[in-house]
Amino acid sequence: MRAQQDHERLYQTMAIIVANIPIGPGTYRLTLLAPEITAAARPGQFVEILPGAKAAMDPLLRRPISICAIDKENGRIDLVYREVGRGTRMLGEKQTGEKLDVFGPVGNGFVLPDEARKILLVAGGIGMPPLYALAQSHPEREFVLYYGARNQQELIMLEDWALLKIPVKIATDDGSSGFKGRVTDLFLKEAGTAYHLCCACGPRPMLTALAGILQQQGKKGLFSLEARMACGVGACLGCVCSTKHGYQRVCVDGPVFPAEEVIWDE
Amino acid sequence: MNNPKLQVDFAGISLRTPLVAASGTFGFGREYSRFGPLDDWGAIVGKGLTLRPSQGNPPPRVTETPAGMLNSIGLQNPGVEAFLRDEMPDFASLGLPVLANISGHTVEEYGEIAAKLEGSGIAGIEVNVSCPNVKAGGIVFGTDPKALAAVTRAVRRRTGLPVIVKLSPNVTDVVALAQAAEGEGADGLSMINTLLGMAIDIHTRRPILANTFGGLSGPAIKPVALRMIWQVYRAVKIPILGMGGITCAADAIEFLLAGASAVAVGTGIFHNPGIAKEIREGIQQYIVEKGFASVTQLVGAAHQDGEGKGCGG
Repeated sequence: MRAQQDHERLYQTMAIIVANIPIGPGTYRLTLLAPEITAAARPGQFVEILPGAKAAMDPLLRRPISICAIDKENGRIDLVYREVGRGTRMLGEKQTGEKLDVFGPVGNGFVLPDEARKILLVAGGIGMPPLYALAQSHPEREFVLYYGARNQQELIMLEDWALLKIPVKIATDDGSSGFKGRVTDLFLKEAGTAYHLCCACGPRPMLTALAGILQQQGKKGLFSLEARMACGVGACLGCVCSTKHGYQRVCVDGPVFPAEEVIWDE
Repeated sequence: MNNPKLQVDFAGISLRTPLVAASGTFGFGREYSRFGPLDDWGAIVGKGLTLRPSQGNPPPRVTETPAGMLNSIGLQNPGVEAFLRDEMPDFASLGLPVLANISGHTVEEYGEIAAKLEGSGIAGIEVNVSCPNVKAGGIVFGTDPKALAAVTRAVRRRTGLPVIVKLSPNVTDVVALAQAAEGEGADGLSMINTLLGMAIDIHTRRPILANTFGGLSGPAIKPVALRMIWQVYRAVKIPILGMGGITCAADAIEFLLAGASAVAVGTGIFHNPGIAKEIREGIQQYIVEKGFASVTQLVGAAHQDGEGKGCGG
């Protein structure tokens, strides 16, 4: 997996909020008009959003948020975020027509090998949106989504997946929808081995378990990681993760890493 | 783009604007070049270098705090030789002066790194005696005037490049350390480095940073930085590169008025990658509106009693 290249432009812009709609408990779908970022965007990349006013110094840092859908024709990207802290709560209060200071697109994104015809997607909670961008951008491939959440209420965008005609296998912790238990257990039970690649995004314990399953099956995985970030451009070395090649920056060496290269038991 | 009113000479280095990208926040320049030309910057100080490669501290390495952030990167870097081979060619062709920030485990190592940088195209050396995140290579040398004098002397002997000593705020008497550096021939001072701090996750009941402690930066530390620059300006003759929480032109002007000859921006870049343009334009506008001939007239101008050198660097 290659890092995002130095010659790829980054754009800092005042993006116009086209919509900021609640789609689940504390979860919003934010549509931004940001033509330059959209034109350059690839699935698996993210943008860095300043949740407050530029003159406000608290919160100080930008929030990295994955791109969920890319609408090149209209210059719009969709982002899905959950209110987990001060920054995302501030985002939740933003209204249509307001502007947001955004830069991007950041990261390597999912780069699919040509031979990966059938791809299994595994999502945990709010890790699902970047996988939607991936599926949406590759109509030529066959996908199945394994989607885990705490309960039925937290399952989002099921109608969007239906529009892409992609089968969705659901697991919930409380059994309120689909399989009762972890999504990795559902994957182990139902996925079989008739696939070429597994792309995943979700909580670290889910990814760690999934990496173990893929290793046993001898399958390749491309996993999108999360980390506490500061600069979001690869300069500060704040967001590194342990890999077989030493510490790598999640922001620009990732966020997508081959599952077999990450050191999971850190 | 070049405006003579904004030009400053800092420790023998000619800067087209008084804005410097602070060490550790700007890599070796290429990451932020992706946003476009770096025309608003006067100079860049590269990521901290050690003699041998260093993998740095385990993650998590950063966390946000009120109007600031903590970092414990721990000087992850490729080592000075790999830097010169792999990074310096691009770093040197960015079209502005580039400085190296160096840390040693011993006094001798500081001298050795400085010697290796001679003739490389580096415009100056920022001597890091104040990194709070590694046991060696930093704060042990930056809190004792005698140790700091020894480091400064070791670097001074091995290089003809401008030597700028970066001071720690984690001391009782910053003036004594500034004077120790000046006494051994430092050409300038950088101040301040980060303040030692920590944060705890109340859900896991553990420190957030793997290293437990980290360096606090951002607007939260600005008043501390200003106070220390004010004190040091009155006590030494060498110029000061002022930094610590600058996020706008008004902040930068405050630092100049307190006695900084140039200012560095670090954490503020993370908040706004376009910050240098805004600060440059703001300073320019201020100079015009207030009727100053150049930015150098602002340096130390808040010391109305005439104390301090008032030379503008």
